[in-house]
Amino acid sequence: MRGQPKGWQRRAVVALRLVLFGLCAPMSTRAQSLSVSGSPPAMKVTTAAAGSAPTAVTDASTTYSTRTTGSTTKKITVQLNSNMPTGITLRVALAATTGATTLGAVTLTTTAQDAVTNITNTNSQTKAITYTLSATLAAGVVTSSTRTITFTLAAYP
Amino acid sequence: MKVTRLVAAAALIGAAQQVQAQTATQTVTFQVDPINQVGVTGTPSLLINAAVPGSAPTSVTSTGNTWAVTTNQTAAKITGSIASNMPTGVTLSANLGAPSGATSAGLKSLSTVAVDLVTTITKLNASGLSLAYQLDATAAAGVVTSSTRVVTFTITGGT
Repeated sequence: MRGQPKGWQRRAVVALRLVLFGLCAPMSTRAQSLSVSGSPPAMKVTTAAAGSAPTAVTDASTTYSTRTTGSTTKKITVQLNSNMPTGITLRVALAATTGATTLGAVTLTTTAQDAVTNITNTNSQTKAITYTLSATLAAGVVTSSTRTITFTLAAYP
Repeated sequence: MKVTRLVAAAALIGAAQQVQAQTATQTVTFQVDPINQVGVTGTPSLLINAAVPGSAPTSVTSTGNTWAVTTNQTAAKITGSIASNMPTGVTLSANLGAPSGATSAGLKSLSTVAVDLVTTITKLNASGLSLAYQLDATAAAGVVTSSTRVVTFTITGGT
């Protein structure tokens, strides 16, 4: 019979709707998350002490926020969309959330690398992102260029 | 049928919570400007106070001064000049040792017109390079009381 659903079927549908609501609603408060506070301002290597290599520049104006579900331990990896020009190095350091471990300044490449591991905080925490741009003299003059850095919250280990 | 669909949806949501990876991106804009820096150490003092009988006054030199350079360009050069010319019959000269790959012009007299001292400096940093001054005077210059000149070294970027 494909007419009106029977009583037990209606009850089952209601029960499942409640289950779905129960699954979806907590996602807004329990789900893992990762976000960043925009992009840093342009970084320029402009000077050097006479007789020394160019002076590296740093920027710590941006932050990231993250949390986990609590049932799993996470890490954040960092990766460039394309490698830096020869002689130019871009490093990023992510301050660790409570209980997590930072890997310090990581030299960015197109290979994903761990920046923070052992992330377990279930409440969102906001921490600093510090970039360092350095250049060798052999790199010469480099016109304005951009790279996209992807931060990924992934399972750890 | 409706129950089946709901169960499937619930399963998918549950699975998504387990496996989803969160990502975020930033864009970094960077550049390296032309960098040309020159520096010197030492405050030389030069005094001519003797001569060999029958000869011009004996020239004096000041060594132990140094200079340093950084450039990320090709074929940069160092010039030297003084703010006001030396008294008539008195000559102040400078001799800069060249860093690797560059060329020193040797001992060059200084005036208010900038003169090349080292050329073809390319993408390097070097310090502790030799810097010597020499003071010459003719007998006609006579006695010259203590005077000073500021020597300005300028690095001009190449390409």
